[in-house]
Amino acid sequence: MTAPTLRELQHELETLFALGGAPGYESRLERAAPGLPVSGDERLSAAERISIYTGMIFVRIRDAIAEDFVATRSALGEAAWEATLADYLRAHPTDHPDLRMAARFLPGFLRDTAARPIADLAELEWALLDAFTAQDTAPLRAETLQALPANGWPSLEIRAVPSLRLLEPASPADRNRREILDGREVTLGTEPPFPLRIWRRDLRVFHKRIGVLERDALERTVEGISFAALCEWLAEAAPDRDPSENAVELLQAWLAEELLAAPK
Amino acid sequence: MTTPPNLGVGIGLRTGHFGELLERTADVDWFEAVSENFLIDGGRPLKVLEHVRRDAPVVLHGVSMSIGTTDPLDEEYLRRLRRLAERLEPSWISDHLCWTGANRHNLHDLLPLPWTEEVLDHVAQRVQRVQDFLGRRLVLENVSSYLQFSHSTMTEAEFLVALVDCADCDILLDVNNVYVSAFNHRFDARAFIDAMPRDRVVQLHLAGHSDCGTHLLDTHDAPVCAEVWDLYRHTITRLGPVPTLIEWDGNVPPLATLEEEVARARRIRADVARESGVRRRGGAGDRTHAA
Repeated sequence: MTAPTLRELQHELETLFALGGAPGYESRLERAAPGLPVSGDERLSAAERISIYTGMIFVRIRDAIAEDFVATRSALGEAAWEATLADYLRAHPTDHPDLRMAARFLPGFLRDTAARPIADLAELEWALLDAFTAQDTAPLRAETLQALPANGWPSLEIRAVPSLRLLEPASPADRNRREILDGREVTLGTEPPFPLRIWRRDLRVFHKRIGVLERDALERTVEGISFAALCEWLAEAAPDRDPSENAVELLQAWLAEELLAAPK
Repeated sequence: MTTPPNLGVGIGLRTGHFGELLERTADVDWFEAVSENFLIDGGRPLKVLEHVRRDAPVVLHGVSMSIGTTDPLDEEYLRRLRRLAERLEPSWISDHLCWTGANRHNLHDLLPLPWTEEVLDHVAQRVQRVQDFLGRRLVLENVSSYLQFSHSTMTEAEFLVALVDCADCDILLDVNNVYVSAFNHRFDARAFIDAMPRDRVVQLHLAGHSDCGTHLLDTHDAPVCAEVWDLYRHTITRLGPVPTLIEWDGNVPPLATLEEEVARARRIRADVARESGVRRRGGAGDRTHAA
């Protein structure tokens, strides 16, 4: 029997290893093992040695994802979580060098395959993780604004910190997560969608429910917006209020919670 | 490329110890950081790493370079690794002599290679490309393995020695991995270590493993066992006081437990240094006496 090239060998083994936890793995292994140049002995056959890796690969990725989705896992229950992850990893084989990134498509996958409150929980847990390692930046300080001359205000750039994430769950994902982590029983129902902001302040990640106007305003700060443009937009979005007062009120809240980045 | 410094005995930087490391200085000589955990844009992990780096040397240890895969090298990964290295100035950068995926998928496991000329050429070329990109020697670690390929034409030790010659890289010799693989494939662990080129082994790893009856599993979730400590003593007797790292990744214990393992490694190093000093003095004495 001619030995396979390294490419052929790796492609065949990768296909087998990636089937961990999937139906059909055993039969595929039974067919493939005799043709693979893997040595067995009286302790372990070639197929058993291959399966050591298959099992470890699935367990390692599953456990890494579970660490970051504690509430989602708990809400699903152990058996459903295990089956969901097996399906997820077949649909989205890991392709990123950072193991934590293996879960980046999980919220979207759950959006298509699980109840909305489960998907909302996963989206929240992913956003918290994402914000945790987002780019560092110095926050905009009130003193900076106080020192700004009056003619500097219109062009002042209002830009959110890079860790800001905006979600719109249709279930109380924030409350559900807290109660699950506290070990309380949770009934997973839906409610009208509401905006939720997630951001990191120094090294700690926070989340907070916000109004639609603030959500829409924050969306505009992600790419950066001048103070004048923000006021113009507020005049249209909330015509019943003075746009400058509205802007100052939002700015004060954002400054207090370090949601804005200092100008570069 | 300069000779790597002798760092002493260190530990892996693990999330569970972040809080304590920000509050006190650990009684260890250096830290090893898993590169992939810090190829991020910001946040607490990088802050902690920079904090420990202020007081102690740091080494970057990767698990996803996949130097042995037939997929193309991940250039974005290498760029991020180089940026991190520029930021931290690690004493060296290591990864594993293995493949971690194919078909553009990453399996996040350290998978064994066949030990053939074809693979040697392939890996040596990739090591050279990585070294050119990073501007420094790459340090490669022997992995624990649970299967071997029947078409291998050399042993793992022979392959490693040949690779060092071809690619001008260095070796991270994992003593526990030698022990685990020696059990799993019935080879002589001491002979493996004796075959290593003394001037190319820049780091040692020590870790715990699990006994599954039919095989040993490299789990890094237990103390270093007595047999691996013995093999460590043999290794530093043979190779000298190579910088040593205690690895513990699963069921990570309190920092104090790792400091105890570090202390044990230091005692063994001191014993070996004393014994080799006695042997040297004894040898000189014998000659004097004979004269």
